[in-house]
Amino acid sequence: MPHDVVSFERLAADAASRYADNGWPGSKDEAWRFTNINAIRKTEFSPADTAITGTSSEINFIHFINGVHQPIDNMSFNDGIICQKLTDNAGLSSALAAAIPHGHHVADFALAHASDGLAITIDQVVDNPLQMIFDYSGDGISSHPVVVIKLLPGADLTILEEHKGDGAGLSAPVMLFCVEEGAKLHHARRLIESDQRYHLGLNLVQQKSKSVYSGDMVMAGGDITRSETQVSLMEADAQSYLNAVYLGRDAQMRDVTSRIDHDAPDCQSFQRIHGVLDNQSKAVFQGKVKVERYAQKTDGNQMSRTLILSREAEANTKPELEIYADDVTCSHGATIGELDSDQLFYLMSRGIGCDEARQMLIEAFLMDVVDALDDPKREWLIEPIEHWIKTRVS
Amino acid sequence: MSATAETVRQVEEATGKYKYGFVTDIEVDKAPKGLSEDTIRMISAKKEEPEWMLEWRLKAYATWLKMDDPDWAMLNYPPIDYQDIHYYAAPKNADGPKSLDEVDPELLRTYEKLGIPLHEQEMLAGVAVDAVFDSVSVATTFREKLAEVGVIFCPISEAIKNHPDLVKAYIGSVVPQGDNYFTALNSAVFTDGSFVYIPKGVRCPMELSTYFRINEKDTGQFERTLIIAEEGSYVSYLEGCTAPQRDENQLHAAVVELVTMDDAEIKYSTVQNWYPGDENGKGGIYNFVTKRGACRGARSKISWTQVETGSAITWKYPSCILQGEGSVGEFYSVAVTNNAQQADTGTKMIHIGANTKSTIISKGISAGRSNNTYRGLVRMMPGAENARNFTQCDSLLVGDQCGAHTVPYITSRNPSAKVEHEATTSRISEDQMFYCLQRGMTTEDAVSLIVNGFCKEVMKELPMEFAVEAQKLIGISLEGSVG
Repeated sequence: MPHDVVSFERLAADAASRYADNGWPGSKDEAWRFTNINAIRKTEFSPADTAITGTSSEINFIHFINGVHQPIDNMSFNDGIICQKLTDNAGLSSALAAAIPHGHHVADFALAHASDGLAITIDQVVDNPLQMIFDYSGDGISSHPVVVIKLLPGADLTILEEHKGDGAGLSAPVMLFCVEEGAKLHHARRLIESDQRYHLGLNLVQQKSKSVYSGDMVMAGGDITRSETQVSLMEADAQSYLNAVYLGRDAQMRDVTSRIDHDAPDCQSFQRIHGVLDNQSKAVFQGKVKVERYAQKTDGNQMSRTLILSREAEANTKPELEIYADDVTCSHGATIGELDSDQLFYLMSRGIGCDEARQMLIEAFLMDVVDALDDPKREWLIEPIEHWIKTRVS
Repeated sequence: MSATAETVRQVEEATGKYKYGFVTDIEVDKAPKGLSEDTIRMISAKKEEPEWMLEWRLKAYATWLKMDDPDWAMLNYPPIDYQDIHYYAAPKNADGPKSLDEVDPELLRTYEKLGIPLHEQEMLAGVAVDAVFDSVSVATTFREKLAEVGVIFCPISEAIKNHPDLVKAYIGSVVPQGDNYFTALNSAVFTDGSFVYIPKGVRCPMELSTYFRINEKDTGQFERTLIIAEEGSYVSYLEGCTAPQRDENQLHAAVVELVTMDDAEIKYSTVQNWYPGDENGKGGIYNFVTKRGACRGARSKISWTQVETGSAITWKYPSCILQGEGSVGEFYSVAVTNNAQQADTGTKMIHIGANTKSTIISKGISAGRSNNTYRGLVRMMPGAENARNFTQCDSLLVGDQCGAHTVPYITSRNPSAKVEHEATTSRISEDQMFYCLQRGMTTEDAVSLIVNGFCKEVMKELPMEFAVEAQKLIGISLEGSVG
């Protein structure tokens, strides 16, 4: 689809003026009704410094510090990965400008404050995964990494992404993945920031015909953490898989939001979301699947399960279907409850202690989502889950 | 049959489809158009209401003035001009008929056309009927027989006069005046409706029924129903609605409040067949209704069953507040939309007490260019120990120009509560159609059969009198949608 040419500078300036007009979303905003971001709204964040120190020279490794990427000259990649600054790639900055959802508060905030971003093009099958490590630090600092990754027809890539660090700051990454005809993107993301941090992320995925996107995420860290994924299936026969695990404890807030637009016939989307909530944590999963009139033969499937471990935790679910085509198979399922007492009894009757049995059942519930994945994605995601279970005070 | 003849036949059928589209020509006493404090004073005076009722209405009006039309539903309609409606219209000689003989024979004929067993049929049907015509309740049958067991079944306007303590104690206690825009409007201008009181331990000896009819042009109907079931009592209540075929939209904004005490049960069934507008979406009723039941007592039960085939716009969420320990809420719904109809309907189940249970079965069928949305809320409060909810909402699409949407909200604040939700969307499969057609059924019979099968879980919850009517209605509503 041809876009108007929009330079990154103009994109940022437009976003800044929208952010000045709209600011942060309020509780009356339907997309934010379950997620209270008063703590973020009240804080005056100062954008991170653009100077960066400490870089890595590993292959296929990109290091971001407070949202700013290491100098491109210091990076080295396998064949097939072409990395540029977004300010130097008008094609991808225009694609990003066209993809940003209208009136999206977080995207506008991030783009308004971002100084630059990365534009990565993948033009063939790349065997080694691309690692993107986002390191954050400092109180009252906001970080806004912007990354656009385009897989040309037939390309294949695995991305391992990590967000970590400490300090009472805000991270607001905005990413766009354009998956062209027949290309495959395997994407594993882990959010393991420390307990005082806020994370509001937006991921946009655009898929052309016969492309495959499989995104898996573990959300384990941060005080308020929201990850929003919007997938647009633009051409026929594309497939999208979104799996997520969210883990909440203390007074943390977890928000997994997804939207899948079936804009073309014969596409498939599958979503599986498992969450565990302990202590006074709160969570919401809101997932919308929209099937346009001409998107016949759509297969849309969504399953959300939440386990509540404590009396003070709160789980919210809003799975939404909006369907205008008749020859479709769409379904969603949602359950909320505690550990199955029969299963617990079974384990305990075999001599396993109560706490241990509970751990085992929680682990099994979470592994269900990631166990079938291939390494290195599997390993990347299991680690934070196991860490979370181990450090859980029962 | 040639293609042209087939089309002509279909058009004829389609245009003659709404059999309740007639107008009854009787003298009417109408309030001038528009809404103001004076209109409310006038309604209150017409109804010879006590002062407290007038004050209650004026308070609601003040609240309404400060509110905005809700816009969150998936509905499209031009703004409603609330000053262009008659808020009161009454058949002229309807001032308290002592018996059915005093009721205008024209009216009785109307009810006969509607198939309401108001007169001779009353004995056969064994159903006590309260019929509300425009703004006034015109006849309530079987009152003596009900009075023997202590059941009060009368127009709410009479209850305000004769049982003020009961009305005062319960009206607005389940649906507060300012709950939403339309409840505030209804509280200010409601003209009539039914009042039911079932005393302790009484099982109501017959099914109670109300038929609502909007007849007069440019009128709105704002009825209010209040049903109180005391400890250990039971009542089954049926509600039916029709309106004439008109090019303009008419507003219907009702409020229904149910209260059940310990071990009491209310079964509330609705067959809503307001005029849906023509094939191009011209005319039809705007149906903005708030229905809510409070299970106040332990082990009490409220069950809503609805078959929605009419109205240009349906905005309706019959809900249960499950307060009493072990109380049960049920919602069984079939919503059929065809042509340009729009429905945004569903339920709310608020679990407050321990061991409360709720079941939601919703079947949405969209045809033509219609849009049908299920919108539901299940909320488990911290005290809802071991509460259970099961929700199933299935949508069926007939044709490729319609939409089916599902918007459930699920919130749980108690780990021992279990919530399960399932939703599917599909269409009538070619295999099913082929099977029926090759056995000699017409397309329309086949659609009706398949759709009724799809809705079976809900239909079996309807009282017998309604089940037959509802099945036919679904068939009629979908005529012309396939082939």
